[in-house]
Amino acid sequence: MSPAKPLTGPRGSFRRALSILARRRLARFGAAAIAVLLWLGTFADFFAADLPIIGVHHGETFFFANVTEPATLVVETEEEKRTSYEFALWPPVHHGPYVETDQRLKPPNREHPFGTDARGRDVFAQVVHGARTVLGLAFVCVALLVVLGTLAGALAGYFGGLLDLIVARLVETLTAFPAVVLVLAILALVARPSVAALVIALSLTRWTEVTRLVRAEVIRVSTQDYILAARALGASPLRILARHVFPNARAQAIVAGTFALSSTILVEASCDFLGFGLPSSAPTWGKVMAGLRDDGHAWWLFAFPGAVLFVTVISQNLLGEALRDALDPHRSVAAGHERDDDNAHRAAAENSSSSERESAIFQAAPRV
Amino acid sequence: MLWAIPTLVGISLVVFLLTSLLPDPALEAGASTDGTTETATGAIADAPRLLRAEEARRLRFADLPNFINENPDDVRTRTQATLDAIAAGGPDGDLAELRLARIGGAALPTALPRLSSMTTEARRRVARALTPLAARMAVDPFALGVSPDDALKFWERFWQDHVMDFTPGASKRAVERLVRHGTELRAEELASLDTYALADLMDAIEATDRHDALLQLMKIVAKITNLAPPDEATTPQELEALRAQYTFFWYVHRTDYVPLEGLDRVVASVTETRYAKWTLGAFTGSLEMLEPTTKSGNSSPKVARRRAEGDLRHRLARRATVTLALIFLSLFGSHLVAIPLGVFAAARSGRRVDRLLSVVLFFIYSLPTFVIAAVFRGVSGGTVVAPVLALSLGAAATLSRYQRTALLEVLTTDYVRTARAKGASNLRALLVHALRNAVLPIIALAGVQVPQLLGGAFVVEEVWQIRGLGWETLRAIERRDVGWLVVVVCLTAVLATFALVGADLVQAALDPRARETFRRRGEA
Repeated sequence: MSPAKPLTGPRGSFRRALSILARRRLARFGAAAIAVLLWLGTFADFFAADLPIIGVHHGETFFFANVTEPATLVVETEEEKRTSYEFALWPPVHHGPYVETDQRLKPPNREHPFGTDARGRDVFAQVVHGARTVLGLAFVCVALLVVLGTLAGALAGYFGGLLDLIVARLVETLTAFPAVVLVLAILALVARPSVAALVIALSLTRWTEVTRLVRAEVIRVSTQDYILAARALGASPLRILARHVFPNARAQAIVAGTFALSSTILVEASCDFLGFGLPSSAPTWGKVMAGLRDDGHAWWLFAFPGAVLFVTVISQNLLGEALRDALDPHRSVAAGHERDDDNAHRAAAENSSSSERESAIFQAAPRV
Repeated sequence: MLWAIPTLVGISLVVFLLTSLLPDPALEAGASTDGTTETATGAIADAPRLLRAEEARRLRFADLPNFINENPDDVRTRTQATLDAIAAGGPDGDLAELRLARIGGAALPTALPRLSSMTTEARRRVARALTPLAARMAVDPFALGVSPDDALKFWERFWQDHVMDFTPGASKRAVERLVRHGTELRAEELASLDTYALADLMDAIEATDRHDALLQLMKIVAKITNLAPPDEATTPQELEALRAQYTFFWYVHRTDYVPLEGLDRVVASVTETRYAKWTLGAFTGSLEMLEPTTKSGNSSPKVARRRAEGDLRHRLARRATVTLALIFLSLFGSHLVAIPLGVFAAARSGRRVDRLLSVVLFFIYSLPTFVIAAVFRGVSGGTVVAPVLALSLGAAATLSRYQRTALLEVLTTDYVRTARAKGASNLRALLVHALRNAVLPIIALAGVQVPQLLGGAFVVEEVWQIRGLGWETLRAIERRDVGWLVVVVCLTAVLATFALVGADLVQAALDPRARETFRRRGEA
């Protein structure tokens, strides 16, 4: 899209937000990087696998053998890999993330472009397949926490009273609570560490941001005339929430969700690095990086997954900041009457114990 | 400020729900493992396993209701329940006989007067159940006779003779005499009271610091319960660890031996619940004893040593000092760097330096602490400054970003323009007029930074193996030390809450407008 093209859609709408986003170089970069990572993760088996994508073995043809065929076809050495197929179309790296070879702690070389870890597993394969684990986990968590946070924020903001008080306190405490400590504590306290427990723990760390933003927006909207009109027409609270209040808070939820994505990935990686992360054999970036703690000289264990992690987080933060600016009608080119709106917002926020200071502080992803 | 208390209660509730309402592998294991059965005959063969499973449940307070105990069990209701089960007979009756023997002397004031109202068969079984008790009380086997009827007669006579001994005052005096004189005779006197004196014995154990008296008291307690006894070679330190085990046993089993009356009963309806027991246990550090500590259960030397090493509070103080030092050094350091940096960036806003600085700060801001720490560790090795630097770097990046924004906002205000119009130099307008207001929100941010830095300290301590709170907590997770975890979680919550409150107060002190707001809120 050429920069000269005018903005489309009404102020604050998604169409307009997207066209604002498309104008920003950094946002474009962020979106592209995330797209590439998602693509890498989804099609990880095309980049690194133990078995060929298409292989003819003893006259039999296999397609996507490493997905469709279990370990029966796996052979150990590079030599065997070359000879045991009449025809084979290999992915760029001939190693999957799970198979352990005797090539332990090898620095990057032709066969292992990112080197190998202490158990002889290919680091490149773990990074690529790790993208699937890490992003998948993060998206599940964020979906969960956005739903949870929006519900809590909308209900607390709309109904007020004791519910609002409890939610506000909870949000305040949890926001200030260090995420890594919270996740570690939950993982340690549940009887059996499981993936489900990790997902819940990660979701619990960042729903507060969604709730806070949605709640403030709902409080702002609830005092407006058209809500009063809807109530006068006899609409049920549920209908008012779903049809009239929530659409206003959607933008806030999306912005908070984007920041939560990078934050969740970081918390998960930190926990993995400390050795208390994902309790399954699935590869993650943090787990590979944790190898550095035992073998301090093996820089490749840290550098490559670290770089990917860094790019992921940077692009999500860039996208988040751009989205925040684009979706917020108060921030983008403020006109006269928008200012009044802003003041109403502030007054509403002031009334409800979430002060201006807070909203200024937590407008970005908290550091991990 | 007052919000800290309900918040803490809320957090303890959440942690409690997490730990107790999810399935506990230890409980399931206790219910299913087929232990080697020592008693071989018939229905009783299963009893040790059942009792062990029951003990495992009790150690986790799983036998108690969660929040309100309308009808707390005490020695009377428990004894009555065993008598009823014995009267009903069957396998449950066999189990009840074992239970009655375990309750021991404390059951006698309830059980013996009730014998006359029971059937002959049931009375015989009660008499049989009391045989191990008689052995503990060192009753002459000759007096007990051979047939159950003889034993029954003995117990009736015994009750007539000793009814005056089984009063709270008498047992208290007996324990006092033992502590003071410590003769064999006094020990025998107490032995005839069996578990009826347990409450007073436990009080004495907690109050006494004399090694010999403690040793003697514990030996008596070990004889009438199945706790591990001390021996002559026990060092004072080991004895201290053993005392902790005894105290925990009493914490779990007190109501097995003590009647609840009047006010006690009302209090017990709150305290004799899973939540109350668990919370109190966590805060007094008793939950560290979660492993069974009876004779049959093993208490490994390693565990004993750890317990002897120092109680929870002691360890907490030692570790927290290190971590808090780390945090506050970093907090100070990051402010020291961030404020000038933010001012510099704001002064040069829009120029190339500012743009470059923005990119660099954004990068550092996006780097997770563990990456910074690992890189610093690799570059600098084990110097003292490196951990603090690693921890400060991210915070400094965050703070200078905010400082820049805050200062830029203030620079557009009218009063700064007025100052410039009146002839103040750019530098003076910036540093004297604008910065005074722009630095306030950054100082308030310190409150938010403290808990964030605590999270970072966990990582930094692990990377450099610094023995602070984070390092200890990770070790606690490894050995599933629930007590430590609960305390750390609550401590973190306190720190988080107080840091926020503290930041508000600092801001109120520095900013007259905020002070005004506070006053208005206070009046409202």
